[in-house]
Amino acid sequence: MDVFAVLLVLLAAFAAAYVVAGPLRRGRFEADDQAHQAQLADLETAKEARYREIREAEMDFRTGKLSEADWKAIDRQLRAEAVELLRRLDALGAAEAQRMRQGAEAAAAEQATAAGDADAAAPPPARKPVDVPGER
Amino acid sequence: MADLGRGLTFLAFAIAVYGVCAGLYGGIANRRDWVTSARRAVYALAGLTTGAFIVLELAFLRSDFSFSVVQSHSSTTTPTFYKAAAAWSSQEGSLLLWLWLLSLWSAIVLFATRHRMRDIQPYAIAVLLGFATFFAGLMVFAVSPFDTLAMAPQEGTGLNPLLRHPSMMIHPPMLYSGYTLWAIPFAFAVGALVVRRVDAEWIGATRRFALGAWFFLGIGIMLGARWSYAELGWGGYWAWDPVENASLLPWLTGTAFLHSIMVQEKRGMLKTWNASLILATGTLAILGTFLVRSGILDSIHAFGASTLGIPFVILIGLMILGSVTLVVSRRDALRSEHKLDSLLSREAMFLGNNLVLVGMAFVVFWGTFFPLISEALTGKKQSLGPPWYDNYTVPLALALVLLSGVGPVIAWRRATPKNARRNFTWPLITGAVTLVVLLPFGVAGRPLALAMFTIAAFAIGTVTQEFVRGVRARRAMTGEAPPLALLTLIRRNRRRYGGYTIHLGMAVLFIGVAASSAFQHVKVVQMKPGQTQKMGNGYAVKYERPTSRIVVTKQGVERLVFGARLTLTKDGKKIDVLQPERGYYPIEGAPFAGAIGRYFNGESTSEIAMKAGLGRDVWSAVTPNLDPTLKTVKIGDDTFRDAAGKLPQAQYDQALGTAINGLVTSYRKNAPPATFRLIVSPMVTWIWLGGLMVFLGALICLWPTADLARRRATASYAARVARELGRA
Repeated sequence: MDVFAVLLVLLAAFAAAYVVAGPLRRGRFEADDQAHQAQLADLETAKEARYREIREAEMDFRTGKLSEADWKAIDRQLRAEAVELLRRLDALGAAEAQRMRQGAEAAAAEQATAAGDADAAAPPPARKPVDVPGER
Repeated sequence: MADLGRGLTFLAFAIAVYGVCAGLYGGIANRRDWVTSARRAVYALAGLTTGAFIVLELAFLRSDFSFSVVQSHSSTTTPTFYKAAAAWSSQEGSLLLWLWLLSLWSAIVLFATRHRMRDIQPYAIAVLLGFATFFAGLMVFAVSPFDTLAMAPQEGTGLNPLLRHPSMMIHPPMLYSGYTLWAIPFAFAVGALVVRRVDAEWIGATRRFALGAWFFLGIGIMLGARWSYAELGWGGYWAWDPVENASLLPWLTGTAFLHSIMVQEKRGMLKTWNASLILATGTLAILGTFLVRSGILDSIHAFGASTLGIPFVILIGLMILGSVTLVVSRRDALRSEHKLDSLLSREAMFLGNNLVLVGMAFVVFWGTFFPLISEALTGKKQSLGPPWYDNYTVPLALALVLLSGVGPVIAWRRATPKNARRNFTWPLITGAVTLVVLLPFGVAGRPLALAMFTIAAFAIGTVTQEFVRGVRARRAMTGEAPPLALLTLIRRNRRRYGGYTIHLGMAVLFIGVAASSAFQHVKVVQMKPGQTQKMGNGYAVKYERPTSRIVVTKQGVERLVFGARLTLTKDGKKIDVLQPERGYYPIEGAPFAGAIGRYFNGESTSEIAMKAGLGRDVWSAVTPNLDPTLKTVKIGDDTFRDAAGKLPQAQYDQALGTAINGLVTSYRKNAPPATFRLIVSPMVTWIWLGGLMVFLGALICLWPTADLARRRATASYAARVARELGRA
């Protein structure tokens, strides 16, 4: 048995265990954050797909494969779907901003309580407004 | 080193098992942290298998014959270039290559889609790691590439000479990349069916990888065809051999899938069909891997028999059973959102194209497995030859090329007469003109070839018309110059115009196939030096003189080569010199074969000579008659057997060298008639050019758009800002 090889295998095992155990060590916030990212990415992808279809329908019309009436009907429907996706993207951004604001307030309140400050129950000092994507 | 390889393989197996469990638990319990951990298991697997593969490659490059697999598939005389490729000529090495590629592709895909389809991902990860568990398990428990020999021999048995061809460096990794990449849409389809999210989302996310699989598998098939044409010495590029067919099967169903998903994306139709197609394609990819390595069917490409039949059959059985169960149990969710409006519509053409492709796949499947079916039913193994395949595939190919011409220009939902007139007039004229122009050239005697030329011209006409109209539309919108308008058009509509380029390439490729199959002249003749042979189409060859040489590398004699020098003439005028040869590789580590005889009792390969051109290839191969030489070899072997141990080694080696040199020289001076295979084959080059166009088109489709890169960056930055704000 090659001792050097055994050491290398043990090192690889440790590195692999460290990599796969990482997400289990981190808290739930990370998971929530990933959920938000996943939703955002899904909606962005769907939006891009609609944009692509709108462009393709126009190209079909211009190269004579779609009648004007069909193109307008398809275009109207796709644009309506894209608008709905944009609304959902905005709503997701606003909900996320709200969630983060609440999280920050709760964390500040928790810190104040822990410090035994009698005034801690009061709302935390106003923070500089943050430009969160999607927030209006 | 072997211990390190074994250890890494075992770790890969363990982490794959963990990943399957973590993915499934994360999916069922809706625990994102466990799913992320499972995804990271894929990254770790990629790292571990990369390490294991490097260990194996180093063993081959260092000619470490303590590794059993190195001893049986390489030698010190194998050129370094081929030592690197020898790793995947063995069953064990090819299993490791499969696992390594699967883990790399899976890691890339899962990283790229880490923020998407979070409900589908856990099951997709479990399926991908399930495959990894299977292959890693085979290497841990059945055939390890890191098995060692008790005593390391001085020399290995060498790489099969047939595999010593540059395309063999690339061909297997390309095929395996294709096979492993098909596992990705397969896995996501399973995930989508499990969570009943069967909209076009999973298709959009994995379409690029399905196209990648199709691209790599296609390159692998083309390289295999080229290798067959240049290396196997029979003069063809496709023999309907089981291993060739095994790679064609998932390519055909995958092509059908890539077309039919457009119908689902556009119209919400064919969901059941798409799910079934990709599940079938994934299963056929595993079947292809199995056939390459198993040796259950006689093949010119089966370089070793396998003992892994049962595990593979179980895996394939599970895949089929699981796929059928999933599709049947999700049939409500898979119901189409729309119905077919008309048979004269783009949807109908896609459906037609799918039926043709799946029909072809069925023919190929039946023909490939007929020996097993006939043996099971009658007890006698019977094979179906190329004429049987041609009976069915030729009409299907005609229909396919026709549909590839009609599809791009017909309207979605319903084609109107006005629309049809506008789109088909010029392409039909192109087809008709081609037909009329070709008739006086004697093509009418081959009606199927004539039909292919006409239909392919029609298809080229429709695609060209699409490019012209697109450029016109672009110019009308932007006023760009035509070349710039063409470039911008392709850049902004990569899927569409990449697809058209593929159709164009396929039409060119099929023209080459039709011409080279229908108008080929083949002659197998014996000639003495000085004799001339007519080959057809005005070509003739004269056997000028025999040739012979010894190829020596740094490690010693690599092979003895016997061949011929031929003068090629066309209508009496000399146009080229062809030098076909046959190389004889010594058997390594086999003293019983004789000191000289070992150079003649090993593998031999044909080195063909060819004059290739756009119009015609003139192809030649030679089989020298070595019978008189072999008589002398036998005498030489007896002499050297007696001399062994009696002469000092240096003197013995010198005498052996002189004897071999004398044999080679005497062949040149007094060669008996040699057998030549001479072929004049029109338009074979069109096949390779068509293939290149197909791959160019696929690259255009695959190239990431700037929008996509920007969107990813935006999403990533947005997520980062959100995370940092949350921690503040």
